[in-house]
Amino acid sequence: MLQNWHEELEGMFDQMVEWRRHMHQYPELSFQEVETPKMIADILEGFGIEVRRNVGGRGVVGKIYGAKPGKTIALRADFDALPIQDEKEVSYKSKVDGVMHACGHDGHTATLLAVAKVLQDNRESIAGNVVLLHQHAEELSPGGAKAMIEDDCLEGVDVVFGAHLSSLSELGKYYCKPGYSQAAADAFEITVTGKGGHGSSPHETVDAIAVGTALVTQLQFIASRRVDPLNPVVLSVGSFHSGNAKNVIASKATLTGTVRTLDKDLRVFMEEEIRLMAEGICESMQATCEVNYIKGYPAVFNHEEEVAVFEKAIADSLDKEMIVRSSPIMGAEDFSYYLLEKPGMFFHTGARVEGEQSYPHHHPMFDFDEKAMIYAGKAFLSIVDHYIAVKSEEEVAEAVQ
Amino acid sequence: MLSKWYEEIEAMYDSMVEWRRHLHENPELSFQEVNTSKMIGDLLESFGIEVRRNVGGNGVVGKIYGSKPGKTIALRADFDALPIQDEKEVPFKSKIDGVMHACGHDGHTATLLAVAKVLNDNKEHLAGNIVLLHQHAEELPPGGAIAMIEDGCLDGVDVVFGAHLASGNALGEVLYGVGPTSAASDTFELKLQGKGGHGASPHQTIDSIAIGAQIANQLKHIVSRRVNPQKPAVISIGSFHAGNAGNVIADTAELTGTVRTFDDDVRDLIEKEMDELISGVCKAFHATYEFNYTRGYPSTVNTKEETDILVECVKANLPEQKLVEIIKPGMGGEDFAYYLQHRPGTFFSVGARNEEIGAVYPHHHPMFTFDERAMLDTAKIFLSLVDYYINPEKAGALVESSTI
Repeated sequence: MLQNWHEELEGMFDQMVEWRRHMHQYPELSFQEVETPKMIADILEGFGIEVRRNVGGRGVVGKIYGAKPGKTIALRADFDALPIQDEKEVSYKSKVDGVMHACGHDGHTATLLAVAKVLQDNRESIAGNVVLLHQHAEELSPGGAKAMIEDDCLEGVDVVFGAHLSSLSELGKYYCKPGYSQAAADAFEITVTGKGGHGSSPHETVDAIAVGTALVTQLQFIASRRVDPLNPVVLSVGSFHSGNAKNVIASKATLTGTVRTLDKDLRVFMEEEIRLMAEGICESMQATCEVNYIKGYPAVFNHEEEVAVFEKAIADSLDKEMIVRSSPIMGAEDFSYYLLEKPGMFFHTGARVEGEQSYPHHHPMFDFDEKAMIYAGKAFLSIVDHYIAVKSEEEVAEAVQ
Repeated sequence: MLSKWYEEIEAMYDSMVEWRRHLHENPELSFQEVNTSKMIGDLLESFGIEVRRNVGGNGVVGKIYGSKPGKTIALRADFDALPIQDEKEVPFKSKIDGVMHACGHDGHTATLLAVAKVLNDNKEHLAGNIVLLHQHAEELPPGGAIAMIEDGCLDGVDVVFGAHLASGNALGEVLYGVGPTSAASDTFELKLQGKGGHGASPHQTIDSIAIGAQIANQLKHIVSRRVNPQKPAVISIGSFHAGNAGNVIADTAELTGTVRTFDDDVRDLIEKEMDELISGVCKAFHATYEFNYTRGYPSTVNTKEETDILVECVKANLPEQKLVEIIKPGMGGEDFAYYLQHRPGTFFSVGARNEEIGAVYPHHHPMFTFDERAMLDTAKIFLSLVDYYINPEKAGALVESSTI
């Protein structure tokens, strides 16, 4: 039966491409999605699926009721775009200046819509339910996931799965790992306040640039000397702004940056160490500082049991050679919030265009091989099949024995 | 004789005020002075003075020939304004939006014009010549002085004097100093080229902020470890800008700053050391860079003999003026320094502060103004210097008294 589902999904490929390319041409920024959720909800309703709109803001939740009772499986696809200028020359190039689907969320959405159609058409053979989590605003903290969870999108859900297309990874492979797979992403803003004055009289001032640059240098001490080298961490200062004139000593310097950690204790430690370092450096140089540490998405933690389920489902229905155990990545993903509430896992689907230059996510030339949507969709269907497909009488008897 | 000159200059006070206020209402930016130069040239010619226009650009040089041969004394006044909005409420407020005489150059010019008139009227009694250096573009390096010198404005000149009104000092004060009284003022711009990328993947990038911070920190090493501790030096980074987002590693960083020195050797050393240090740090951290070091005005170094003469002249002829010796040189720049690289002379300041009329704001402030009576004080000092050098009756006597 899963075989039929996979075939039905393949039969929808042209439709998926059409949906994806429509969204690609009309991208909408995080928290500003209007037409995209409307399109998703209208399509789901067109399939006869129960839809709740404006979940946690702009999210759309669909629910497919199987013919018999059973577990409830949530599948998630995000649908927001990025403030990036599309520089590709393709027929489906973004028509919105400065906004682009540069992370593949258009593909995620088209995939889940097609999966929804296949499952809705086959709900007679499902013992349980499927919740379709069409999520807004993944790209911009605080993100859509948290608000959708607060708006009960996970109510009644037993397990949750999500997928991401990956433009730099081989088509036809699935990448996953149990435990931490994507970093927590926190932001910080440090304002150093010194005392301004004339560039020729440094002794009458507290030079905010000198203090700020000392701090930039010393912050690396935390990553290189304070943290267990086996415990991955990144601390990057992304912007440094101070001063307006060559001959004036600046009174303020503003630094912003990002901290990426996997381990949750390390995350707490980093915040403490950054504050300590900033305060210590400033005190030693007679400046003051304000440290604003903004917690972003937590780390993605994949549950071991669900990773095993995923690997078994792929191995049974497709090919175990398609599974690649991956290393954690330092990029963040707000799918982590779902995994704090429910067991589940998040995997990546290879989507590299072979024979062409491939670009990383968030790049103005980003694109992916649309066939990857078939692979992602098949994996979702295999997962659903594993949990809640009504088996043939022989299979049931076998299972009982 | 000098007392007669003083009477004549006092009688010209209203004209000085009128000229000054006209200039104040119609300020012109450095290197863009058209009407100011023309006004000065026309006035000098109307006095009967020989004028050379467009000297080194917009400069105007007048020459007064005494009836007998003798020394040639150059007196300098600058006449450019600043890109500052005049925020004073006075009848002679600037009529040009965003341009203002916020440093007193209008006063310098009015003063020298009046001095020129008095000396020209009395040229029968002069043994020697006067060169009037009306200089454009003091406020903007490379400045007008260097170009005027290249255009021969100091030809035949024996000594050169210049004065600046000072809103920070009380009316009646005269500030003088021997040796360096202002710093050489250079600027630099540094653009670092790293390789941008995602904040989560530092190993795939070359972080221009981290490298810029290293350079900013290491530059302190030059002042504290490479420069002779007896010789003053300042390296200040005035701006540091890089990056637009917290989670993106910045591709480039731009730093600008200033270097102040008194000694030419220290100045050369710092320029060389900065270039080597930046090159070394960039090499170590895999970045490339563009470094522009722009030399501004050199240090103003007053010669001892001419400064002593200034002091003696003030003591002898203007006992009501309070002489204040500049103990600590200022770090501000002044392109009068170039004249002093070619001729002996001295540059002094004349107090022009008056709280009653709100003349309390620093130079280059939108509310800057000065007590116009300081123009008269300056003019009298100039006249006393001329009197010293080329009045055959008095020069000998003063020299004798000053050597006791």
